[in-house]
Amino acid sequence: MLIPVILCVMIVLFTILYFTPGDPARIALGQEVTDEAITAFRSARGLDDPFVVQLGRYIYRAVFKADLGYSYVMKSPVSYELSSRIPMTAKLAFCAVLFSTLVGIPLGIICAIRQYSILDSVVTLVTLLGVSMPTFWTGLLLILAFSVHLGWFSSMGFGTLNEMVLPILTLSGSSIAIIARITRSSMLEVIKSDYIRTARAKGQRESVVIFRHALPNAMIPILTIISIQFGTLLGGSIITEAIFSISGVGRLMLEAISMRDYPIIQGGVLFISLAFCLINLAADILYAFVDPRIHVK
Amino acid sequence: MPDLTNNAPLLDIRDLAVQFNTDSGVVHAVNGLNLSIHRGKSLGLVGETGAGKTTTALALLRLIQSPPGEIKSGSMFFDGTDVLKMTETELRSMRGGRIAMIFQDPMTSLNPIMTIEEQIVEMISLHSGLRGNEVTTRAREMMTLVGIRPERGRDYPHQFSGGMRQRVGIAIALACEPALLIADEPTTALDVTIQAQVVDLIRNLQKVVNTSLLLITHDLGIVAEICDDVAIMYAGRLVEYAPLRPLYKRPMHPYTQGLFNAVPSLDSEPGGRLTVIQGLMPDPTDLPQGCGFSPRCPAAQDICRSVACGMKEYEPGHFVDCYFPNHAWEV
Repeated sequence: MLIPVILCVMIVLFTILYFTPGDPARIALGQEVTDEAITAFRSARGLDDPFVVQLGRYIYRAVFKADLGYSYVMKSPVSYELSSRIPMTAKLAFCAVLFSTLVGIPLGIICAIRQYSILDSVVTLVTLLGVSMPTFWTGLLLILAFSVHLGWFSSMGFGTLNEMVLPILTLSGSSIAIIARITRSSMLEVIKSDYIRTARAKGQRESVVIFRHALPNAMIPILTIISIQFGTLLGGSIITEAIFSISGVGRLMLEAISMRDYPIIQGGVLFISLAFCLINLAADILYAFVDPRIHVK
Repeated sequence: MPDLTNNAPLLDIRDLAVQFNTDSGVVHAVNGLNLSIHRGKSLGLVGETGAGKTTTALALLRLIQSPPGEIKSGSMFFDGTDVLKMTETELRSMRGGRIAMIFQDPMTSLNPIMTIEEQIVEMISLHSGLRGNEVTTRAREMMTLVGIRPERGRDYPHQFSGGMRQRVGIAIALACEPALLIADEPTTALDVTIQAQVVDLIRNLQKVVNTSLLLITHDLGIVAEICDDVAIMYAGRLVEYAPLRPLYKRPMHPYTQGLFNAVPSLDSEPGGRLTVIQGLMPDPTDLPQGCGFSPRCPAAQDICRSVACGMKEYEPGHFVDCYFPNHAWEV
């Protein structure tokens, strides 16, 4: 599954970029430049070759030589640019997914146990807000409140703990909401099942019934949504990185897009899709540990 | 106050009413139910689906989901203590330890992601006071007792057939030698051949462990095999209560008679029709005035439709909730 998905991503992306208006040569070389320089730039990078030739060459190099090409603007290899930025993005996405799991699952459980209570309604409302608010909006509000007015947290970078708070909050907002909602509905379904009644009829404590009997049985949909969120956060960190001036893959791609730096854009998207696929694969393997009825083949 | 001597019944349910407050109205599931079981005896609670049998059992364990369920009134004395006044801790030690329950559907009543042994062990470590290896040993004993090879303890429920799962349910229920065993249609989901095995198993174990048994079923045949007394339930209340023999020999309530007429016998003519009770169970959100069975009863008179009769002892130990028992059905 992994290989055809990645190939498709490469082909589709390459095609879209090929037909995108804007000449990378003019943007990279600037306004004051001779026609000769532009011709030289284009022919050196094979930009005048037919579409199919360019596509074939790109896939051939990427697949068989692990060569993603050179940045048009920075003149350095794409793989170098990416590998210097990936740790930052991975750290941001991982922290955000960890935070949203640690907050989302307990919220969901509380809502499920106290279904239709005031707490349940409040959490439902807040999570609805969390899903609906766009990241750039949440981010700006958080900066306004906690950086500008209160001055508690820094709004630049992602190195120290103090700098990490706001980006993680921004990025995990919608994930917390989604994880909490899935946890709630999954737990509600499990709590109504016969084997939970059996556990209660054994005289088991309610906390043990919830955490030992109900939660593990509710884990499959929760794991699925966490893995999807992880992938989404890797790609979705573009805006968060831009807002908080974090030099990750997202900001690299944003700059590359405005410069029509095709190799960087392609490399970035390739990284995100690859990561997405691998995370889902990991989740599939985890299922087998959670549920004995699922076997690893 | 209940009589605390040994002659007192183990379980004495008085005037129990359970209702569910749903969007479509208040469902009166159990209405003024009286029931008692003596030590070591077995009572068959018979009635059709929706009569309130399982609700009664769950109310006794205080496992009615609330909301929407609510125990409206009544008292339930178990071994001298009112279950409705117990604290959460007392309830937990009663559930499983003193009163254990075998559930109706073995396919769904075991936790799918815990091994069989873990699920039996859980019960034992909650109530027996055994520790460490003793717990495992006891769990293996129980598996052997119900006919499961102990080495299968590491398997999960989905690796067992329905009958084997029901055995697991029985092993869990009997692991701590409860004073009262509630078996909620323990054989309904099983094949006929497996049914017989499970019935034998329950009967033998009941003797070995000397528990009282509340058998919930709609199968009059199984009641005849296991039970000492029979209670017939209709629309949330008892309509007839008697020792096994008199009731089977001479059912008095028109509903009980109808039930017996609906059972196919070996003498019935091939291709012949079974006698059915006309009509349906009343809507539990809108019970009829007077006797709950009156709308379907061939013997009903005006008085039945205004005031219910209440239990009357027509023969020693044979109680019937009817003004006109022994009405001969036209078969």
